[in-house]
Amino acid sequence: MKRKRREKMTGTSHKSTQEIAFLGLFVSLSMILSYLESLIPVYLGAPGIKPGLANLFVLLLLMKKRVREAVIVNLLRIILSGFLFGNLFSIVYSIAGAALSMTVMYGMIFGVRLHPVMASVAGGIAHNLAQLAVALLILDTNAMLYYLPVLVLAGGISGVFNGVLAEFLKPYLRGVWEHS
Amino acid sequence: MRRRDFFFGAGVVLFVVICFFLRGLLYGDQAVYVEILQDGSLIRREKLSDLEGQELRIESADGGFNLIDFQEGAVWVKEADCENGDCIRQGMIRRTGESIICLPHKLTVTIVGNVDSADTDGEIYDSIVR
Repeated sequence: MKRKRREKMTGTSHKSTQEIAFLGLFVSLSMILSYLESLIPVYLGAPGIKPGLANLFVLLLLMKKRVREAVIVNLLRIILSGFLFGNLFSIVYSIAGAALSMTVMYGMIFGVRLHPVMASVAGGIAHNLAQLAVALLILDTNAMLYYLPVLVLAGGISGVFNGVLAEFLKPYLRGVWEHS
Repeated sequence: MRRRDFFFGAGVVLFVVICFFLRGLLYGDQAVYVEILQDGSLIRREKLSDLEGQELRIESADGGFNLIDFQEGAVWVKEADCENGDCIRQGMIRRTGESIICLPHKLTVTIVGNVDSADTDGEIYDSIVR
């Protein structure tokens, strides 16, 4: 029977050890990616632009239809990274980006039914736009709008990169999170 | 699904191209002034040429500071005590429209052309007291 129905019937959700291990792996890997990105001294054409590689695992989980896990992994990654390497500002900033990005990706994958790569592009763009909005609000000036095209382009490119990587990694997750 | 994806991707590319094009039109002026905004209010507007070789220390309400340096027509943040130091890493700006921002200090340093400012009603404030 379908996973949802069985979970409702038995009152438990069957999480195999393997799945839990993968989730832990995803959180730590995305934290490492976040940290590595913060080390890059290169200024990519606009304030606050990052490659956004950490989104890869969120995308993978969404592709596997595990929305809850995607949200939790993302939140954990942001909060833990924030406490370890960042500050309150960076946490709020990241959460804004992640929230819009996940919502858009979810909508693109399950609603509009886009290919994962394009959904990732949409997610990357949404992430940057959300951060742009936060900056506009905090700074109380429109100066950052100058960087709109750069932000959209960068978000799109990192989206392509993440999407391709996710497609590449997907076969390695075969059997995990299938309808168990 | 292929067609939808193609249109989406093409739409993004088109949007970016149009944005860059419009930006070139809107921000085409020569770099003349630098404007410093704190909390959305303009606190300094100086000619880049006047500030050549100088440094400006901007204090923020919570006691923080940003040290802005002006060398050879470029503007950059030399030193700052904000937590992530992102403003320092943003490097140099020289073209009209470019900005350096410091979110924790709510500071914006923008290069502006001759006519209008980044966003203000023209008022310049000496400082913001809270």
